[in-house]
Amino acid sequence: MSNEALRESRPRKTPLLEWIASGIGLLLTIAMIGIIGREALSGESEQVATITVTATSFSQAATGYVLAFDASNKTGGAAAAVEIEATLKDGHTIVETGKATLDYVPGYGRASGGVVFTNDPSLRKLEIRAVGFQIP
Amino acid sequence: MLARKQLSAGNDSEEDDEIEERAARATGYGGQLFLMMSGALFLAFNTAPTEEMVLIGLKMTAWHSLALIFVSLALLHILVFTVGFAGQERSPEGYGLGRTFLAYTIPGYGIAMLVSFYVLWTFGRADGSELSVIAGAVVVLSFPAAVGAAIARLVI
Repeated sequence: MSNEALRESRPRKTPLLEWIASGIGLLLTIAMIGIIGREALSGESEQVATITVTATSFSQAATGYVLAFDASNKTGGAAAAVEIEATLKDGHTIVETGKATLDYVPGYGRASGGVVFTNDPSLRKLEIRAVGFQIP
Repeated sequence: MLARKQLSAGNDSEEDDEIEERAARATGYGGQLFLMMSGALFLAFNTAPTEEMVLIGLKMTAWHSLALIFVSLALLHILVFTVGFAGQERSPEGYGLGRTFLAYTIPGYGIAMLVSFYVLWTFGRADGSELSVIAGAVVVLSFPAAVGAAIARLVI
């Protein structure tokens, strides 16, 4: 048997690294197709975003009172350019209105921001909500 | 790669050559993976800071993302395949289409996805997002990353 033939008849050894790399790569690719495929079948990203805003904390800064808020999306649809409006009320009269814009609130995701007031929010009635957004 | 060149030179014994060849093939493979990672990092780092990556991820439907995965895989495979058979001096004999796909394309795309996720996470683009939203952004960024991975193998 010639040297060539001997070399060919021997089963090729696959390097261990190749096995590991292929395995991990295959796992990641299948996982990704799985995640995206589930999303495609559920059609949740077609829903219209429902954004709820909650005030998380406020602190006094040199420029006024900073109210931090969390905006969370309860549906699978994403929202872009989300307008947040916060009003401070004294009974029925509006004392001050603050605004903030969030770039994105992804589906089932959340984003946070802050509104700056000149009046102390802890002494007034606070209303904070999302007033509008774009569907990206 | 350098080690492969260095080690394979000045070796006359057939048996030693065989051992060296096997070792070189393994380091060569690791080197290829490393090359793909640097290529992916290079392009992903340049594109991830832009706002559009996240926006495109949100704008695309899941079906589009799914199609993009296959387009990225096909593109990566075509480039790697070309290199594997035309560019290399010693083409890996016995490596069929399926073998090259599993040995180079799939790990390459895996690397592209990992690099994309890492870059998105580092730049804070994955914050406050659900898994499917992150997956969408990773798929978008994996496309340039996969091209980068393939080009790194082509050029170097």
